[in-house]
Amino acid sequence: MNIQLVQGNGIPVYLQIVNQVKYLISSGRLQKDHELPAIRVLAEAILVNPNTVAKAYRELEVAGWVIKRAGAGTFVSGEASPLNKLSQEKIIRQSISAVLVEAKQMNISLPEIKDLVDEEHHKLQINQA
Amino acid sequence: MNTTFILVKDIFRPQHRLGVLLYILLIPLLFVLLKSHEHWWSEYFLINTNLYYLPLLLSFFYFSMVFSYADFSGKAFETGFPKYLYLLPVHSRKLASIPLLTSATFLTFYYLIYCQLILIPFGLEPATLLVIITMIAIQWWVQAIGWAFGHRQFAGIILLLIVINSLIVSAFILKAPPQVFTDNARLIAKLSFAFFIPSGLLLAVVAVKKDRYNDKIMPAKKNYNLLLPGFKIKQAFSNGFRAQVWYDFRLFGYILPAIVIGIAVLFSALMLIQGDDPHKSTTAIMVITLLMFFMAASVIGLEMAKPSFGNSELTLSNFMATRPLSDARYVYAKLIVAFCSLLSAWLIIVVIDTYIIAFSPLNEFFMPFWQQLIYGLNSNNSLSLYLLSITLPAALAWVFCGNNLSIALLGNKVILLVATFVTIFVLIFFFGSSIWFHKHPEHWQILKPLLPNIGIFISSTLLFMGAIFIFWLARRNKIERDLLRTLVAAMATIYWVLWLLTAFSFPQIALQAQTIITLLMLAFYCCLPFLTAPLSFARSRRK
Amino acid sequence: MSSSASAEAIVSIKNLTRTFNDKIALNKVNLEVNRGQIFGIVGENGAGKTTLIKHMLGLYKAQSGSVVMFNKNPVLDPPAVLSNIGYLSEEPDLPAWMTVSEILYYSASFYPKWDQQYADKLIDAFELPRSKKIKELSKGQRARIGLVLAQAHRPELLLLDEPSSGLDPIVRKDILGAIICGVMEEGRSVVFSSHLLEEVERVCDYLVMLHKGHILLSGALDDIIADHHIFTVKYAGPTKSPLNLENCHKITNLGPEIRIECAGEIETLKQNFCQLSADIIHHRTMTLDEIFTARSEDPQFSLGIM
Repeated sequence: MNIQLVQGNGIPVYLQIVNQVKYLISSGRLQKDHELPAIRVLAEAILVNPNTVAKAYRELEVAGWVIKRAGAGTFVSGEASPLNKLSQEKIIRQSISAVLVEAKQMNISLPEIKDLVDEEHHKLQINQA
Repeated sequence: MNTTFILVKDIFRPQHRLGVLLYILLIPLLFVLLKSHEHWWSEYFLINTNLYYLPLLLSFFYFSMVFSYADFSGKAFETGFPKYLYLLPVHSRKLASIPLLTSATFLTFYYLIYCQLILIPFGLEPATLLVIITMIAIQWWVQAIGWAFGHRQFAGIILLLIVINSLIVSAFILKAPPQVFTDNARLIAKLSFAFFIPSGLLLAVVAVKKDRYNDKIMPAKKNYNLLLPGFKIKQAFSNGFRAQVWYDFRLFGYILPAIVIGIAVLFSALMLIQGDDPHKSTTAIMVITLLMFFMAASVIGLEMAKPSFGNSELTLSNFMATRPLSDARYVYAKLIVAFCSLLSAWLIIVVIDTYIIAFSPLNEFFMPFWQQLIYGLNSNNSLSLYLLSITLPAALAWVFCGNNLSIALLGNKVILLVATFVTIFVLIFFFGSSIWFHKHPEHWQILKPLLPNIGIFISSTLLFMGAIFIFWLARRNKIERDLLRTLVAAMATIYWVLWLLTAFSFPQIALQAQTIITLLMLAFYCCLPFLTAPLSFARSRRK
Repeated sequence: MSSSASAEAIVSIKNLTRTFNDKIALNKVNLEVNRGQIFGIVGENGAGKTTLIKHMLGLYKAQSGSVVMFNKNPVLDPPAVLSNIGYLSEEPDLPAWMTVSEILYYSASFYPKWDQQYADKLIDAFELPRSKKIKELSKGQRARIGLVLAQAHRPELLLLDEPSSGLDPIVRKDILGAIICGVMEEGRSVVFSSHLLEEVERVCDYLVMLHKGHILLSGALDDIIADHHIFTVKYAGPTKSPLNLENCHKITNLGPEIRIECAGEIETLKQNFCQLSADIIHHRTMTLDEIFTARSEDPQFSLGIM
C-alpha cells in the first residue's frame, strides 16, 4: 500500500493516511476484503508513530471504510455498508456547503446554482460516454 | 610416551636444530676470527665492550627466541606458546616449567663450555655464577613475556627488550677488577635469585595457564588478559571497569615505559661508543634518567585527565561522561593505569641501573660511595639500603603523578597551567641544586646540619599558613567543599616536596625516611590520590 | 491515542530551574515521560533542549527542582541510570582512534544487557567497515555507529539530542526507523530533541516546546495540533464587527478575506464566527512549525494546555 506523506501543508498525518486510503479504495486500487498492512508494518514503512497509524485505522473503521476482524487484521469493507454511505454523504455535504458559501459571497442565487449543477452534470455525462 | 621427553624434544624444533648446532660451532670460530684480527679493528672502534662476551650474547639472543617458542608463522613473528601443546594431558605448570628448566640447563652448560673453550684459554677469569644467573633471569622473563603477550603485536617489543638487554650487558660487562666484581656479584646474585628468577617462573606459569584456558572456554564476553589487556582487543571485557583500564592504558599507559626504554637505548648506544672513562658521563646519565623519569611521571599525571595525551582540551566528551561507570571507578582506572605504568617504567630503570653499576667500570666510582653511605648511616645492611633507594624515588614519583592527576581532574585549565609550572619548577630546582651542591661540597658541609631544622620549620610554617588561608576561604563560602579538599591535598604535597628539597642528599633522605613519622607521611601521600582524585572528578563530571 | 499499557513514569522532572552565570537556561520546567511514549522536545537553538537532556543524564546537578529517572537520582547513582539509557548526542564525540569493532567491544563491557548478535545485525545492515578507525568515517557513518551503540544494549530509554542535525536524509530515516522499531518491538521509551519540526510531527506522541528556557506548550501532539487553527473567513454582510476572539495570534487582512490564526476548541470557534456573522471559507489546523513560530513570537498567546 503506497502512502505518500506531504508535510507542511497543515493536514495532520493521520488525516493524510485516512484520505489516501479512502482514495485507494474508491479508485479501486484496494479491492473489497483486501487486507491492509498491519499497523506496525505501515508505521515502519512510512516512518510514522504507530499510534497515529492506529488512529487513522480507527477513523476508517468508524467511517465504515474498513472492518477490523479480531485476530485477523484490518480489511477493506464492501461499499454497500450503510455506514459507508453516511460518511460519503457527509463529504458531499461539506463540499456543497462550501459551494453555497462561496455562491452567497458572489451573490449567486439558489436557482442559478441549481442550473449550474445541471450543466456540469450534463458535461460529465457527455465526457464519460 | 613420556610427556617430558616430548616437550623437551619439541623445544628443539626441526627448523631450529640446525641453527642451535651452527651457533655452538660458529661462535668459537667467530671469536677466533675476531681475536686474530684484533689489531685491525681495535684502532677504529673505541668500543667499551669486552669482545670475549659479545659472541656469547649474540647466541644468547638467538637462544632466547628458540626457548620461547618464537617463530615466523607466515608473515608475522609470533611469540605465543604453541597451542597444540595444550592438547597434551599435562598440567599447565609442567608445560611452562619444562621450557624454562631446559633453557636454564642448556644455557648453563653452554656457558660453562664457552668458558672452557674460549675465555680460560685466553686468560680470562669469568665470574661464572653472576653471568649465568643474569642470563637465566633475562631468559625466563623473555619467555614469560613472550607467552603472556603472545599472538599479539608485542613481538617487536620483546625483540627490543632483548636487544636492549644484550646491548647493556655487552656494553658494561667486564673491565671491573675481580674483587669488586665478586662483592657485587653476591648482591646481584642474591637479588636476581630472590626476585627475578622466581617471579619469572611464576609469570611464565600464569601466562601459560591463562592462555590455555582462554582458548578452551572461549566465553563470549570475558577477557582473561594477564597483565595488560592487549593493545588491540578481540572481545568485550567482563565489566566496564576493565574496559576503562584498557582504554586508559592504551592512551597513556605505554608512554612512560616507552620513554624510559627510549632513554635506555639512547644512552646504551652512547655508552657503547664512549671510550675508556665513562664514569662521569654515567653519573650524568643516571641523574638525567632519574630527572626525566620524575618529569615524565608528573607530566603523565597532568595529561591523564585529558581525552588523549597532548590534547589541548580538558573537558570530558559526552561519550565518556555517559559511560555507566561510577566516578570512583572511572578515576581508579586512571590511577591504576598510572601506577602500573610508573611501576613498570621504574622497574626498567632499576634493572638497567643495577646492571650499569654492577657491570661497568663505574664500580670503581660507585663502590667507595656506597661504602661511605653504609658507614655514614651506621648500617651494615647494604641490601636494605639498596631496597630503600629503589622504593623511595618510585614513591616520590607516584606522589607527584597521583596528585597531579587529582589536580588535573578538576577540569580547570588555569589550575592545570599553574600545576604544570610548579611541577617543572620544583623538579628543576631539586636536581639543579643537588648538582650545584655536589660541585660545591664546602657549602654543602655548612648547610647540612641546618637542613632538617630549616626544612621542617619553613615547610611547617607554609603549611600552616596555607591551611589557614584555605579554611578562611571556606568559611566565607567562597569555595566548594570538594574543591577545598583537593586544594589542601595539592598544597600539602607541594610543601612536603619543598621540605624534601632541603634534605636532598641521598643519605639524608634515607636517614629521614627511616623514621616512622616520615614513612607514615610518605604512605599517606601515596594514598592521598585515591581520596582526592574521585572528588576532583565528581566536580568536573557534573556541574 | 493511548500510550502503552502501564503509566509508569520513566522520567519525572519537576520545577527544574537552571542558571548559567545569571542567564536563565531553564525556568521551572516540568516534564513527565511514561513507558512506551515517544516524547519530543522542540525549541530553537539555545532554548534549553540540550541543558534539559543533560539534566536527565546526570551531567548537570539540579540547582532547584528535581530530576528523577527510573525512580532514581541520575546524579547520585550514575551507573544505575546510565545503563538503562541509550544516548546519542548531537555530534557523536566517539574516540577517534578506536576502530569500529574496538568501540563495540569496549561499549559492550559496560552493559550486561548488551546483545552482540543484534549489534552485529545492525552493523551489517548499516554496512559499517569494522576495521576502520572512527576518524576515517564520514559524519553519517559516525551517527550510525552512535545509533548502534545506543540501541545494542536494549535500553529502556532512548535519549537523542538533535540526532538528525547535519545528516543526509538516508541517515535521518535510519534514526527515525530506530526510534519507531524500538518503541514497537521493545516497548522502549524515546525522548528526542529536534528543531526539525516535521520529523517531530511524524513520530512523537507527546511534545514539549521550549523557548528561552521556559515551556510554551506541552501535551499530546494530537491535542496540540487539534487546538490550533487557521481560518479564512469573510463577512457575510457589510457591517464588520471587530473580531475580538480569545486566544488569537494573528489576524491578516487579505482584501475581502481575513486570515485568522487562533487556538481553541473548533466547535466553539465556529460558533464564535457564526455569532460575528463571518463565514468560514477555509479551515485547517496549524502545522507544528506554525504553532511554534506563533507561540514563540507572541508570549500572550497562551492556551492553557500545560
